[in-house]
Amino acid sequence: MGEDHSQLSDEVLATRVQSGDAGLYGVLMRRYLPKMQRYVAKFLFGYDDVEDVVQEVFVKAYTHLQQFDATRSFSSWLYRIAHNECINTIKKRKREPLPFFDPDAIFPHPVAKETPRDHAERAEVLTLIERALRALDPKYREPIVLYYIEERSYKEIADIMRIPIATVGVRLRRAREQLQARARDV
Amino acid sequence: MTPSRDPIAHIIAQIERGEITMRSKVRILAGTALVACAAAVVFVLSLYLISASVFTLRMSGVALFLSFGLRGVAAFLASFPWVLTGISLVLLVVLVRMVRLLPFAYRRSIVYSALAAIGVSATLGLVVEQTPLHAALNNRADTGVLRIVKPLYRQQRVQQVRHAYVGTVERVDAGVIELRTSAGIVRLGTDASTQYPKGPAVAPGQRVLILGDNRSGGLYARGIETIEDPAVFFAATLAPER
Repeated sequence: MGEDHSQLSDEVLATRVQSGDAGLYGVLMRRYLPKMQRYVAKFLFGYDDVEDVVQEVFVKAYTHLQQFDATRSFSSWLYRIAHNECINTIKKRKREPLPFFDPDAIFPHPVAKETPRDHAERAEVLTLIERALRALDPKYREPIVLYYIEERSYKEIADIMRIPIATVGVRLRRAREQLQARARDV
Repeated sequence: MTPSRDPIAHIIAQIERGEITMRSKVRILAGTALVACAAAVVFVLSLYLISASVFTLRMSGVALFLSFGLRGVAAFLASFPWVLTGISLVLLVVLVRMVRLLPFAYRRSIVYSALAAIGVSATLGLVVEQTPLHAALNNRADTGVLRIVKPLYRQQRVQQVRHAYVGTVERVDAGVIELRTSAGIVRLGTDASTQYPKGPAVAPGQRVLILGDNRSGGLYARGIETIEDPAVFFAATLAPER
């Protein structure tokens, strides 16, 4: 009778794959395939290469798995790889501008913590996302997808995007404002 | 890459066929070690250049130009070691970018990483400047042993400013001061408008910085300041070991 892997954490599975049990990588992929497809599809809204990008994320994750530190979250590590792949795709396609210089990340901002308002607005924002996500710049689109759809914390988003935690708050606020303004225009 | 109907089965099959392989831990560690070494080299190089900039400023007396009025300010700007400072700043930017790869750095705003990098480099740079390192290298450059660093310690930088001279006082007579510079002997007139350094009177053997004016009657010293001699500084800092 085969081992039940459903009770094993992502980090334990990843450690076993690192040790040579490559078959368990399938279990990890099965856990994350729907999440990656959703995240990449939302981040690369309107792009055709979502499935290619998702496959490339899993290939890259396997290739670099020895880099993964099992004391940290596998989920954030995988989202970070997906983030890089999406950014590379946007750069390759040259359909949208990506900021080379981001003033939001330079100076400290007071908005650093998750607020009850973030949660209270969840339903409204999710509706707005469905209607107007395409109108957002990638730098605002990604945090709003990670926070409201993928339900990542500010700290996790900071780790995935490699930006200050306070900047996550600033971008989420601006993204909500842009979505609301776009909804009013419509 | 063409996605299959079942991407998971497709990737697993590629892994089994050996088409996708996991990079070894040794290779990853080697990469990390390489980045760490590069960061250390950038850090040491920026410390060296920052301390060399301060050393050059101190030994050439360029900062003393600021006490000679507006023309002194212009002379200061013209003689400032811009290239050294520019390279140091570029290295600091590279250093900040490297530091930003670390979680404790990227979770906070860039201004903190930049201030920390500048603060640590500037403080350690000033400490290094107080050691005999630059005086020794300057000495070797002067004696031709270490020609490669000669441009870094070029003391004649201020000679590029019109009527500015750095040299050793040869003779002080009534109304005339004679100076031995790297370009030869220079004689400048002095009068009531000449600004002398505070403290003891200028005497032969002293190393000085002079900003002159070309008046109808010849070359006159507008301001004189005494500066440190790298050779004396070198001898003094190494004296306890002798």
